[in-house]
Amino acid sequence: MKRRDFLKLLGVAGAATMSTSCIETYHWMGTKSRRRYSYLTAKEEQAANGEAYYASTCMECSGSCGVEVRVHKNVAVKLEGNPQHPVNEGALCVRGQASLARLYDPQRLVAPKMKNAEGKLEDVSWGKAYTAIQEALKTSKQNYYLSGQTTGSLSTLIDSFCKTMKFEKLPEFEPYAYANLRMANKTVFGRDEIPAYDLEGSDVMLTIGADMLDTFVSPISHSVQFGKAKARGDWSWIHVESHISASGIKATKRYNIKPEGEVYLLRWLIGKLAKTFKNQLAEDVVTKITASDEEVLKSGLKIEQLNPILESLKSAKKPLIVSGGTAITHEAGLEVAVLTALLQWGMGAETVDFTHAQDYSSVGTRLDLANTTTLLKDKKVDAIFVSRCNPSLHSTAFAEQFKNAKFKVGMGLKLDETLNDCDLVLPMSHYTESLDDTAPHKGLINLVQPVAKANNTKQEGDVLLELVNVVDSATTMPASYEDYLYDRWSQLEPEKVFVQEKFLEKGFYEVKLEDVKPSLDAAASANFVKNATLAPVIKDGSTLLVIPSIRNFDGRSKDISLLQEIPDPLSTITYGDWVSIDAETAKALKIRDCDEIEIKSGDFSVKRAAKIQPVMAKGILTIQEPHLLGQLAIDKRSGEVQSCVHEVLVSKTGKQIPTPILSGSMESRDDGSIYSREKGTNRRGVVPYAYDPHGHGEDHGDHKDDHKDDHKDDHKDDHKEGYEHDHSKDDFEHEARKSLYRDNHDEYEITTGVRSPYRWAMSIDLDSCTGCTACVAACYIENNVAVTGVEEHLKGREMSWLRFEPYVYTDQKTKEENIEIVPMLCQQCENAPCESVCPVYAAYHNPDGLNAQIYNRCVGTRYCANNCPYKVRRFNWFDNGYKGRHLPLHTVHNPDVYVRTKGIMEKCTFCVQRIRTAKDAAKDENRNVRDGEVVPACAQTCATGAISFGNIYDKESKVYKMATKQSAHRIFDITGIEPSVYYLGKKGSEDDAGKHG
Amino acid sequence: MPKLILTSVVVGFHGFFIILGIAYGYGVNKHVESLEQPIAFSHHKHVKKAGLQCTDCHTKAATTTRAGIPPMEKCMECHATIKTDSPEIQKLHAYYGKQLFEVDAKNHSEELKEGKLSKLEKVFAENKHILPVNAMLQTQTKDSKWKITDTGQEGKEYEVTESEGMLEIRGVKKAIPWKRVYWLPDHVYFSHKRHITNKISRYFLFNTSATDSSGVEQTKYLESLAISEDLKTAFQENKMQISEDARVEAQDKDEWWIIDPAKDQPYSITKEGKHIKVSKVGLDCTECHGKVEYMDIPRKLPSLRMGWCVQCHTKKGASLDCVTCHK
Repeated sequence: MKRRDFLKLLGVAGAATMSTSCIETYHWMGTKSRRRYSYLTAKEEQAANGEAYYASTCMECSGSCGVEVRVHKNVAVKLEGNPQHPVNEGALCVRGQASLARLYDPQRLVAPKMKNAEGKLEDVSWGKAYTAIQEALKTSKQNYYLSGQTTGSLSTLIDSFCKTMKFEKLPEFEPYAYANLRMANKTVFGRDEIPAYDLEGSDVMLTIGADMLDTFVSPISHSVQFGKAKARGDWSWIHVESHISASGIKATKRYNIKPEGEVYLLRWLIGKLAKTFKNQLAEDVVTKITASDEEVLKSGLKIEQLNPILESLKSAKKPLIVSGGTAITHEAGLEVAVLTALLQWGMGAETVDFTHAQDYSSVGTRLDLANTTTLLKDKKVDAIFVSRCNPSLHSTAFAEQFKNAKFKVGMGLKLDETLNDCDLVLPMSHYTESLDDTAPHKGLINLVQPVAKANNTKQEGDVLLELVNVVDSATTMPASYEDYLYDRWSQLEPEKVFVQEKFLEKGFYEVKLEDVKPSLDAAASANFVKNATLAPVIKDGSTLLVIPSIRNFDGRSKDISLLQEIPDPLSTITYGDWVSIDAETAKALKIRDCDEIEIKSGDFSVKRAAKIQPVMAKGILTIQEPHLLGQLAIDKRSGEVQSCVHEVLVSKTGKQIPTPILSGSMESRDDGSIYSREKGTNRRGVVPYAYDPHGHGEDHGDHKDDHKDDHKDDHKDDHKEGYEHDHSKDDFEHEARKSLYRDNHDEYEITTGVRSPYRWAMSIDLDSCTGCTACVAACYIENNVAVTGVEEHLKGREMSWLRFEPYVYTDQKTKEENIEIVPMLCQQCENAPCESVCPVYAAYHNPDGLNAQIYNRCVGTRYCANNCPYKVRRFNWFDNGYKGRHLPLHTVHNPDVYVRTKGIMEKCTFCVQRIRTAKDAAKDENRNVRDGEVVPACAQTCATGAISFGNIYDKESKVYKMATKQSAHRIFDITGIEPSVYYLGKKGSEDDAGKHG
Repeated sequence: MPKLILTSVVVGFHGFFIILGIAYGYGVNKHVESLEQPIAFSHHKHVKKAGLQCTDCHTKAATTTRAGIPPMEKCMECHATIKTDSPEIQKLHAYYGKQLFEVDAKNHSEELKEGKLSKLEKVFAENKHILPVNAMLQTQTKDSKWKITDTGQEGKEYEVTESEGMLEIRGVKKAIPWKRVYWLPDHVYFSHKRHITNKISRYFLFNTSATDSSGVEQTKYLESLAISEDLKTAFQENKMQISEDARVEAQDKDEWWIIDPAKDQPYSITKEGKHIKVSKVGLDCTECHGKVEYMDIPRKLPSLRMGWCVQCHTKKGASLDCVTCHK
């Protein structure tokens, strides 16, 4: 080809290329046209911005906390605690926050399912389902109804359903039925109930094994009271337990006790205190109980530990004594519960409130479930209805015999172990789709209000009423559950407008009750003491404790993916099952984190990954899988299952199970590796925040914690403890470092001439923070943080903006090891190291002192994350936001926050969208934002009120008062980056000793 | 031969781009077409001719972040009776689910059973109702009920019911699938309220004489926080109503505000030589949306790019902090 031809061609082609690119540009500059639907109905226009809040009740557990459901464009987006509700007062736990995910579960049942000829479940219509039930009931004679714990109107409806349809109602099945506790209350007080515990009204609380703030009966109610009592200052808490729980480490004093040793402790205490008892016990009972000073040492407590317990009980005016958890679920568990009740009676019993007792009247025990299993085994069950419970998971015997029932109808949200075996499965509505009520304790009726329209699912009440109407056309029962409820509610108050105007708006109704004073059933308790084994043999060797999980409770919440993503506070494990093992046993057996171990005792055996748990007493192993309780022995007296497996054999199998341990194991803290390919295990090398309550902590064994404490506080401690420390060097270093960073605030003032009236800051009271991880769940949902999955977690790519760092330290005075749990979020540094390295100014400092991140500006260099000393920046390696989620799940997203895509760095922004909303409202009234108007999602859901947020320029604000307290300090303050998060409270330090914490 | 190969390679390579260009051109054409709304609603007729204010229909603009599209009920307040014979209003009625017309069933029942529409189409046209080209008779829901669905962009649905020898034709109630003209990406926060009730911007309305008919300075009235009768008439002459509850507020020593509870934006009054200047406080809708009163089909005038926002924010002294708008 000639050169000329070539150029000609090139010219023509070049022009063509140019024109295409021009058109392309025009195309992108042109208007983007998008369709819009369902935006313009009249109802939408009523609510401002198409947004509203509806009062309802969380039904994830029997605690029944009041919630407000945020509804955006007719879609339920988030749950928030109802601030007026008597149970939770605006707080919500981690499971409550996550329970909305059930509504959008991709695996949810969408239609009734019936077993076909091949024995497989297939979708059918409701009509067919009803016909099938009708046909089956014609021939069946022995019909049974088994449900989970039911309260309120539904409980009454089930009773009348059973009456008209000739069903027999089986005792309700709850994995945690507190059988020993109820039995003890029946023996001592003549009441088969669980009282409400008045933490707030007490001055000393002694808890034996009861994890009050984690899972025990009504943890959120306890946490709210704990926060208030703690703030009062004159409240102290002694906790005695055999393993270690997240609430245990928050106690003023925590002691390790041997399993079953609790009996000796209580006997000794009763013996010592009997003379000063407010309510006297019979003399022969006391003599029978009293344990000598030698005997009490069998419990594993030393005399110098026992005396403070005795002293504080002696000086207490209104003590509260609670036993629960692992302390009452062993062979001598009933004795522990009874002795606690007797001690409580002797100390006045003013803090146990039977007036507002928990409703467990129709809840059965494990013995009742065993009876049901026998019925099934003898083929005496023709038809059985199972709803809201999963007995097949919790009892292998039940699962085996369940097939013997001729016709099994299951009701639930999605298929589980029990529903899979049913002949007919009816899809139930989520609680945000239902109209219902609950009665968590006496004198309180909670409203469950629908905010979304159910698709093809029904409520249990509707199903039962429809069945009654189908079978018996002459019945007097209403045709719909809504009518049934309105009939009942209208009787609450004679006013006609009550339901519409008060109940639906407020969300709950309190009935005034007469006070119930507990009284001693002397004969029954004396009789019990006479026959009780008051000297259990303390077994040597390792003990496995099967405990409930703070994230999954009895295992029911395990199928919510968000809860899998949030780490367990003490072990920081997200996905998978594990056994926590104490450090001494692990050392002796050469077990490291993630090693698979086998635990054997008789027929019982499990293989799980190991996680070394510091501070836990020697010879204790814990496993957070309550379904294993089904394989353990049952106490014949009360029907309580024994969660302690004594004298287990622990052995290494040699395998390793990759387990995501987020904060790195204690032993691998300094090895610096993130993912060891060679070993195939995850050993995260992230050095956790070294919270050192005494400034200069001793290096303890393996834990080499750098000195990273508040530098001002160092000085105080130095003087007191006589340390020699070169202050001048510190000051110099501080100033030198400070000069490295520009002062953003001043810069803004110079360029604009305006000084922002705000400087947002947060304070976190470590004494009140219970590590319940509710704030993590709230943060996930509020900020559309992605759920990534186990694979990513093993690579250290979790997305949580807020995490918990457990930190082990040795108390200098008592020389005892303890754990502190520190919530770690973006510290919004004034001189943030992340800002100066961003090449595109995506990370920048905002005039209000926020360390803002502009997502659409971010190009994903990840320099900022490398430069962040707190490791709180998270990178999106994949499109986890919209694309990564299963279809209905993406509906649960906050429209105020951008969903980050691949290649974007994200972080906590102090919920900048809420700040923006508050500023907007304030601007309308031409004023500044007032204290308390901006509440980030984490602070809002916190039950103990540990987190306060506000404008630190405002001298009247709560956060200013907290930040200027003596015990306030900032993490890595010495580096001069001036973080905006103030941590408060030092356990056992000289300033606070005896005051609180 | 090598020449041929080279030519074909070069032509092939660049030809690809030419074809791409044609494809894009086609796309752009389609794009322009797509700005046509399902109902040819004319802002010009409603604002300029009928004299409606923006906030009369976009009621939430001054109080919430979104201006919002009025519900169909709003349209029907007037158009239940006004201009009902127009084909565009008939479309609205169809979306609203109103009964459109009745015909004798005899002529059509056979055709309907066969699933054809040709005759009925004519009847639609006679009744000033244009059945879309891609309309199809969907299903015979019951013995005497048919559904006509429009699978095109307008997405209309009609219901044909046979009763007592007559065919009743009514629309199926459905939200009008308006096409969005103004669209902001997900990472941007924008509030209409904040811009309309913004206290920095002034939008000029009219000038009027500084003295009233009796020769008293207008400012005298304003200083005593009263509105003179002449000013009131000046407002009326400029087609602006002032209600009886309107009050005067001194904002500055040379500026007064008339706050009318019936209006969302206050009026600012300043004296400039022999005139007093009346302006609106806050941005006027036209400042961003253009003179919508002269548009039949509204077009997106500003680029809505960040630079466009920022230049105005800079000019008016509004916040330049990134998180003000970025979420």
